[in-house]
Order: sequence, then structure tokens, then C-alpha cells
Amino acid sequence: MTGEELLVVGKPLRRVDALDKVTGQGIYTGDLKFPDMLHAKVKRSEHAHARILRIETSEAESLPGVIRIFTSKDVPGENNVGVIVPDQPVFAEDTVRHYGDAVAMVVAESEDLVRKAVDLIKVDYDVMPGVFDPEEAMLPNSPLVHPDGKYGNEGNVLSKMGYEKGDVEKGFRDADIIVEEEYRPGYQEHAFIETERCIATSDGRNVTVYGSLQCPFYVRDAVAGALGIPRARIRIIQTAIGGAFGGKEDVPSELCARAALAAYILRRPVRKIRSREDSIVMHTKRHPMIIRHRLGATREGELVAARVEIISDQGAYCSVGKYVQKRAMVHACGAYDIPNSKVDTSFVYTNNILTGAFRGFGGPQVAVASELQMDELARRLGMDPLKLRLKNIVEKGGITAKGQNLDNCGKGLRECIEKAANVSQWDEKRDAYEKFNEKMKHSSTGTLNIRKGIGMSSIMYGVALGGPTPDSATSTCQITEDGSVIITTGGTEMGQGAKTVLSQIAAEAVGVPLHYVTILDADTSIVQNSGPSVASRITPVIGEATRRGAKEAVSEISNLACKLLGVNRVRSVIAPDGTPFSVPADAMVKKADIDKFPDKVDYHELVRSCYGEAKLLLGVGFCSTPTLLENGEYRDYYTYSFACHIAEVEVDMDTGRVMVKKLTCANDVGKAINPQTVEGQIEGGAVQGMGYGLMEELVTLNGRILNPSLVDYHIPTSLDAPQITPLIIEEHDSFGPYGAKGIGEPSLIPTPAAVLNAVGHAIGLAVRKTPASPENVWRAIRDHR
Amino acid sequence: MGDRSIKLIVNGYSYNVSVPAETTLLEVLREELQLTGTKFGCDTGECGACTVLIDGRPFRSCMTLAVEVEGKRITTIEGLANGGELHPVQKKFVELQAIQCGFCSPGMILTAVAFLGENPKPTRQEVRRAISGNICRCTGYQKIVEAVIAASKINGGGRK
Amino acid sequence: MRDFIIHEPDNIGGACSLLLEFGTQARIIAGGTDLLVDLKQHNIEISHLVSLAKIGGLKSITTIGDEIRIGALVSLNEVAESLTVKKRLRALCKAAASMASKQIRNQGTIGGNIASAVPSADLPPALLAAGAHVIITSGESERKVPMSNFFYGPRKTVLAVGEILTQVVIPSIGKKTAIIYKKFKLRGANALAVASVATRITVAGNLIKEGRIVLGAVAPVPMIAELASEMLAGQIPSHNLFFRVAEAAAAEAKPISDIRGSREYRKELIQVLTKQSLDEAFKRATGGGD
Repeated sequence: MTGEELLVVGKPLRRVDALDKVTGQGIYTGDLKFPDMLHAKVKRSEHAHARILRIETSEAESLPGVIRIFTSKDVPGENNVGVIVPDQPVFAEDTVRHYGDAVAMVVAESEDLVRKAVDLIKVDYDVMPGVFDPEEAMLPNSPLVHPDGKYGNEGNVLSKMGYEKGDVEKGFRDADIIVEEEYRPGYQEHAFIETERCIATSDGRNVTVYGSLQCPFYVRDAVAGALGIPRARIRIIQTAIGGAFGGKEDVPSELCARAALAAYILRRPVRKIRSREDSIVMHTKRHPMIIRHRLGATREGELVAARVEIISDQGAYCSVGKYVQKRAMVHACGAYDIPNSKVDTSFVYTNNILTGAFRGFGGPQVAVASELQMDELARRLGMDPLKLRLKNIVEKGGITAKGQNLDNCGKGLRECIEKAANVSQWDEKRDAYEKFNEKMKHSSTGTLNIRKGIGMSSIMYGVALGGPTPDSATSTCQITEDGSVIITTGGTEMGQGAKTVLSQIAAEAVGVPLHYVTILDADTSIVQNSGPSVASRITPVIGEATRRGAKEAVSEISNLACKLLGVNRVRSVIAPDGTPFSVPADAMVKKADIDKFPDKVDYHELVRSCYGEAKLLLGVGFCSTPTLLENGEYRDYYTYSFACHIAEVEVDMDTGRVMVKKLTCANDVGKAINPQTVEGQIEGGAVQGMGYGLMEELVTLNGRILNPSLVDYHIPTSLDAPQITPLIIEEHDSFGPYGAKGIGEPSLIPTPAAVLNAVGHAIGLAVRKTPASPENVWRAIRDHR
Repeated sequence: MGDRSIKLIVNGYSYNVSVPAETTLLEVLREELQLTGTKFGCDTGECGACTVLIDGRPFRSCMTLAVEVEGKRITTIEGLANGGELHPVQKKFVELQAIQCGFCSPGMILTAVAFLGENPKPTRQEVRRAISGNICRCTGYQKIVEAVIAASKINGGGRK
Repeated sequence: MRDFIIHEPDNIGGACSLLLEFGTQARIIAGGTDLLVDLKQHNIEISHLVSLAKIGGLKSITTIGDEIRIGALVSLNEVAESLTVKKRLRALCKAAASMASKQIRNQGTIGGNIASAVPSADLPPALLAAGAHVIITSGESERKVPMSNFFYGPRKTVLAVGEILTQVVIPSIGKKTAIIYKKFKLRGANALAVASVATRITVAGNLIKEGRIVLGAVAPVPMIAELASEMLAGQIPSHNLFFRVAEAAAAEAKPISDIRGSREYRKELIQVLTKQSLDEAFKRATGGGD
């Protein structure tokens, strides 16, 4: 025994929030009630682009029980909630720029009243021409969404980003074969089952907001700005969250700013619960992209050059668009070693729904392009897509397509691909399905005209927030007199298992069983700003801060144990009855034999003694990622995690309907802190990705969303979701706690492309857009005939 | 237009409430009886988060007027555990991590409980069909299906 | 939802007079699954709801000879699971089972599914194929209306103010006859029909005696594809025939383009579903399993 054996980490322990959630005791925002609580709802814009001439509220105000109607004139601070650029108003001032803009807000005594009153508000508009296509938006005479250019935009182009590595022109000259195609991954709606909601209270000086929030500190800063009061007077408290997936990242800022404004002025609690329709019409979506991808290779299948141009529809406001843009740019060429590459991206304002954070953050879209390109290339070369990938993947010591030296990771990808291929029986199935399809082509009997396919997608994913600035987090750990442990962080539990995983990390670091640890809910007046709960960064970055804080908190206890045992290092052993002990680090004792082992000290005695000797059992953990290099350069991402997903499908050639029969998903997570939770992330991410690839279509017409309901926006049901085999790969990372990397996003990123490649294998031609809905697949088949 | 006085039997307890005729069962449970375990997801019968059992069968409480269920036996998630002991379906949801955000869980669990009452030894495909009206955005359903199958294998899995 | 009064009469006559008294201000509530959505979204504004819940006799499935009578308040799940219906008109059970969700099927009723007159409704095509009729009462008198004459347009039916649909009557289907319902939807559950087809075939010897093809979700009302249906009478069954009939059915369909599918895609679906349903119906009518 090395003394490094893990006590709590790496075990499939039960979720710390499980009991609350299966008994209905978990408290979500909508479950809270306050005396005298008011209700609020916004009047949405009725046009995609228009000047507001007049807002007539008198009829609505005259309804008994309507307290007040708010508009932009009532915002005391800055009329902005934009998290990167200040382009998004709390209430539209003189112009509406998409259908989701809030023109006014009714506050009244009941939910029913606010709905009635909203219908009675009349707004006069001078309708202006809108722009709904990002390419048209880039033309010189296009209507301008933000005409003054004060957000750094040039015309409608919010931002351009790109890079070139090597000599791309020469690369293509040297290529034997060039594959050039256009891809159009579409929108995706988060469709969390709990819509956005918050409750604000105020005494007229301080403001408290309870909400379903991924990033309480974003909300605090937005509320402070809108009210024009110091951040210290604002307290944001996160409740249980009914799903987020990026859609409650910066989105709650506007919702909470409006509720806070009403509570602050009226001095009564104000609750806002978005209807499903408001939710879908108003909040950000996954960025649709137009991706033109040119890939050059040698006859032997060695990649020599890539040229990628991306145009994305940012909608009316920036939201976190520029961050999505950067991630899309870095990952645009996929997980491959390509000596010459050039990427250009333009994110463009339109009068469509704004686009922003969604699990994967640009990743799934660029993977659709780069991974379908690999299959297209394989087809033209007559090569197996698996072999083509293995020949070109970037590995440890190599250079990414973007130009980052992979000196600290890169073994996980080959392992993911080989494991997924092996478990899914790639070779056998590929062959069997081709034979089946050949037979079906020549068969005229039978009424079902089915083809089968198997396809893969392999990706790399930059963990946490990218450079040049390192990603950092803070956490505290306090060990109480009875030995129980309190952890604070700004990370939020949104269903992914953050509390369970952080508890395991803290318990491991202190050396106690899981149930000793309590993670406080994020509350901006109590916890530290650990950065946002995004970018799959909770486990690796906030987790590492938690580990360090816990180690610091337990250091006096360890010191005392060393003194008592007369050694330099100790480790923890948890007895079968759950009592933690300290033993010498090199002691050869197993947990079952701890009773008879003499050289041990009871953890609780150590804690009591420390308190008796007035020792501080509080730790503040801080960490920052190894993003900066000694030579002054920086890593795009401090490390990468890897994944390979393999999909098997059946396509009905007559209707275009695709059924996914099986998903085999290998994800490198560094270290699975809780393998069962990791499996849950893989399965859930894969099905969300499958939905994006196949089913989920946001239908828009001139900026209006035509299907704002869960009946007409189709997310997968239990009858659509396939059997999934999650495979956990662990390439130890030197920074993350116990070697962990993130899993939230890379669980989804490869799936849409894998499904599309399987469809391509089945029908013999590529569907280059999402979703590959029955009609889209049917059109692809028909157009080919 | 005047409240209606109705008697509801929820989780074995009898309640008299006075509500307007347009009040849904969901609103009565959450606002009048403080039984907030039943969730409000879409309010139009699309998601299943508000599922409760009425005389042992699953219904959307957002699509049910309270006055229409007067005198019927209503079970919500709060009434499922028997004297503090979890129902086998709840136990297996905990053990197999068939929960993530938890927002669909109460409705999902009640649907599964009613289903196992009708079909105590189901196949995986039958489970998938049974829960297909309850949308989950987090789990991908696999652990839910496994939890329902596991619950069917322990004694009392079909208990309501 | 707007405030309203809910009336719970205990006899059908009382219900009819309430409907007559309040006219356009009143609606019937049965399962409420369509109505409550409309009320919550302010699509309709009414002040009176007439509940049928306390009226006896509307909740049973009975048989008289080979005829099946289904009360208007029988739930969709009861239709789906009824052994009586399954034995005689399995297509109706399949249509009911394909709808919405288990929860909604426990709530929604056969009467509501018909009377709401939504173009994509699942039960009407199978009922039309079966030659069913409905019983409508005004409290004082009853009338019989064939399903084929019941619908006027989306959400428009022959029901006059003060009338209630009380029963659905399915005649004896007869020997050597099969009815098949096929529906195309965009996901495994909880989705409306993009297109649907109910096909009826009666065989005599090695000929098709007659056939009827009913199309759903591709016209303002469920429609009988008359030309396509006629093409079947007296013909020798063959893939070629079924293919031509399917083409004819697609030509007769009058779909619109909407969020669930384009006009041309819906026509294509009608062709595919008609062909599949003809193949299956023929197989079943000739005793080749189902």
C-alpha cells in the first residue's frame, strides 16, 4: 500500500441531493413563498425590429390588483444586462431588436392578473425592416441591428476572430485530395423542464434575489448595474435548479434585474416565473452556424491542410457570443494533427433570437463540420473512417491544429477511439451493415425500406475557461468542533452532481466519510466568486480549489497526528463503522484491521484537541490553471479531455425517419470522482446531442419562433433515446483534483456528428445540417436520386 | 366569480378547500396545500412534471380542474414513502442515480409506480413506453429505465 | 384563465339547456385536455363550463350484436385497452394508444377527440374507415350523423348550440375485412400526426371487393380519398395496384405546409403510409395474421 489509496474519490457513492429529489422535498425557486408576494410578467415585443412610438399602459393599470407597470424609464442604473458588451437592455428603450425583447413589465397581485394585464398593454410601433440571415446581414445595404457600432461592431459584424498556422496555400498545393463542403448546424433550445424563475425581495436599500441560476455572480453584477447600487448590497441566493445546460448562465440576469427593480421600488417580494412560451421566445439558443470547411490530405490519408470559415447568427445581442466564438475557432479543425490550418470566424448581429451558452459552447457545431469532413475524406479515399482518424489524431507531444503544444495531455483520445470501436464491434458492424444495405437495395419485397449505419465522431475539448488569462477559483473549508465539514464555493448544483462531486473531493482531502461534508448553496453574500458554473470547470477548477481549501483546513489536524504518532506524514483510514483515523502514511494497515492496529488517532479526538489548543481549522483554497507558459506564451486551454462516440442507426428510406439504436460513448475524464455520476453525464449529454443531431428543430420565420412549446419543439422521449454504453477513460491530469478533468460538455459534443456519420453510412450520402429530421433526410435522399 | 368549496383526498388525508372553478389540481396542491413536490413545468400538459396519481392512475395535474376530482384518491410524491420508508421505485432512483436536476423526478416516479402496479414484471421496452409521457432533459432515460426494472425485482415493487 | 362558472348537471337534458342558455359563452368540458390549453392561452374566452362528469351512461363501451357503442366520456386509454374494441376494430385501439402521453390518454375522451375537430386527430380516420356514426342529442331529440358528415373544417362540426355528442357507434365490420391505421409523427411519443392513413379492405375470393382510404392531418378535416378508394373495387391485389392507389391518395390529399412538415413531404408520407396500410390490410383481410 502506497498510502495514496483513495477513501471516497472514485467510488459510485449516492448523490447527496438524492433523497430530497425523490421525495419532493428539494426546494426550487417556484416552491418558495413570501408574505405579500407580487407576481410579474413582461410584455414582449410584437416585432423583430421596430421603433417604439408609445407604450399605452392605462387600461392595464386600471385593473384592480395591478400594482405597477415598469418600462425602461424606471431603470435607475444602467439599462443593460449584457455580460460581455453592454448591448442588451433591461427594457427596450426606443427600439426593439427581436421578438424576445421586453417592452414593459406588469406587477400585480396574482399570476392570472399579470397575464390579463399584459394583454391590455398597447404598444405603437414604427416597424423597420429586419435582417434574419447572417450572410445577408454582412452585406453593405443590410438593415443595422446596432447602427452606431458602439459595441465594437462593424456594421452587423459583432466580432471577427481567426488564426493561421503554417502555410495553408502551400498545404493545399501539396495535397493529393481536397474535400470542401458546407455545413449548417442549427439552433438548439435548452428545454430545461423548469423554466427560468426568480423571486426578489427588498427593504428599499438591500436586495435579495432567489433564483434558478447557474452563475449567481453574473446576476449580482447585472442587478447592481441596473439598480445603480453597490454589489455589496445585493445578495443572490441559488435554490435547487431544474436543469440549466447553459441556458441559465447569463439569461437570469435580465429576469432577475427586472424582478429586483420591482421589489426595490415597491418594497414587496416579486416573483417571476416564465411561461414555457416566454422561456422559448426570450432566452438564448445554441448558435446556428454556416461552416465552410476545406480539408486537404495525401493519397495515404495524411492531413496536410485545413481551411475553415464560420459565420454565425448572434441574434440581437452578444450574450456570451464572443466566448463561444473563441471556443469554436480553437476547436474548428477537430482533434487532428494538421500542419497548415487557417480559421476565420464572424459572429453577426441579426434580428433573430439571441444566441449564447449551450452545453458544448460552439463545440458540437464545429464537430459536425470537422467530423463529417473526416468521413467524407475517408469515403473518397476508400479508407475506413476509424483508421483515417487514428492516423491523424493529435497525441501527447504533438501540436494541435490551432498550434498548442500538447505537453501535458493527449493519450486519452486514442484510448477513447480504440475502446469505443472495440466495444461497439465497429469493424464487424460496419461490414455487416454494408452487406445488409446492399441486399436491401436489390430487394423489392417487404414494406419497410430500411438501411443501417454505424458512424463515429472523435473530439478534443479544451477544459475550463480558455487563455490568455488563467482560470481560477476560490473555496473555503471549515472543520467544526464535531468534525463535520462545511464547504463554500460559488459553483452551483444544477443536476449534474456538483455537490456530490465536490463533497467527495472535500471528504477525501480531509479524510472523512462523505456524509461529514456539507456544501453550502451558492449565496453571493457568503460564498466566494469561484467563477461561473460553465465550461465543465466545476470538477477540475472549483474542485481543485475545494481540495486545496480542505487540505489547508485539515493541516493542523495532520500536524497534531504526526506529533502524536511520531511520524512526518499521516494518512486517513476510515473504519468499517465509519470512524476516521489518522495512521502513519506508510502504515501497512487495511480498513478492516484498523481496530487491532495500535498506531492510530481518532479524527474526532484530533479535532477536539485542535480546538482545545485554539488552532484554526479553516482553509481558503485558491487555484489557477497552468495556462501561462514560462516563455510568456499561453495555452489556449490548460488541458484537453477527449471523447469518441459511436452511433448505430436505422433509416427508413421512404420517410427519412432515423432511429438511433445504440450509442457507445467513450469519454476521457482524467479521473472519475464518482463513476456513476460520470455515466449519468455521458448518457444525458449523448441524448441531448442526439436530439440536436436528429430531432430538435427551432422553426423561425422572419425572427419569429413558430414552435415555442414542448409539443412542437421535439426533445427526445424515452422512446427516442437509445441504449447507451458509457465508457470511462482516465488519462490523469496533473492539475485537477485527483487527476480529474471536466465531463459536462464533452459528453454532448461528439454525439450529433456521430449520429450524422451513421446516417451517412446508412444512406450513402451526407446530411450536412442539423437536425437530420425525417423531412431533411428525405430531401437529401430525393435530391440525390 | 365566487369560490367553490371542495373536498379533496390527498395522500390519505382529507382537505376542504375553497377555490375558484378555474383552479387546477396543480395549483391547489402547490398553493393551497403547500405540497410543492408536484412540479410546474409547462402548464399545458406537455412535460409530465406535474403528474399525480388519481385513483392510482397517472394524470397531468396542470390539465385537471380541482373541482373535477372531488372525492377521488390523489397521491403526490409526498405521499409515496410509507411511514418514512421509501417506495421501492424511490429507493432504486436513489441507488442507481436515476436523478439529476430532479425536476421531472416526482412525476416520473409516480408514473413508474402506477405502471408497476399494472405490470409488475415489465421489459425495458415496456418501461420506456410507460414513461414516454414524462420528459427528462438530464439523464438520457437509461438510469431511469434501469431503476424501474430494478424496483420491479424487489418485493413490493408494484405497491401503490 | 379567465374566471368562469362550472356547471355539473346530472342529466343530459340539463346539460343541453345550459349550453343553449349560455350559447357562445359556454363550452362542454369532458377530459379538458384541449379546452384547458385554449383557456390558459386565452385562445377562447368563455364564462361557463358545462361538465359532463356527473351524467351517467356516457362512460361505457357496450355491444349490441356486432355493433360497438362507445360513450363520449370513455377515455382514450380505455379505448386503447378495451378488449371489445380490440377484437373488432384494433385500428382504433392503435390510434388511441399512439396519442399524446399516458397521462393525457387517461384524461382525454373519445368524444372530445372527435368534437374538437382538430385536423390531426387520431381517432376520426379509423372511425371513418369503419363507417362509424355518432349520436348527437339536443336533450329533446337525438340524431344520428355519419362520421363522414360530421366535420366542416378545423374545429368546426355539425354540432349546433345546445347539442352534445353522446355516443360513437361502430357498425359490424364484417368478414374478410381489415382496417389498418398508420400514423407518422416526429418522435416516439407525445407528438401529433404529421400525416395519417386509415385503410379498409374487404376481400372476396382473390379479388378486392371494396376498399376505403381515409387521410388525416392533410386536409382541413379527415377526408376519404374517394378516387383512390374506388380504384380498389373489384381489382386483383398486387404491389403495382397498391402503389398506384397510394399515388392517387397522395394526389387527393390537400395538405398545408406548417411547422411539422411541408406540403410536398406530407403528400409523400400519405403515399408511403397508404402503401404500407394497404399491404397490411390485405394481409390481414386474407387471414394472414395482423
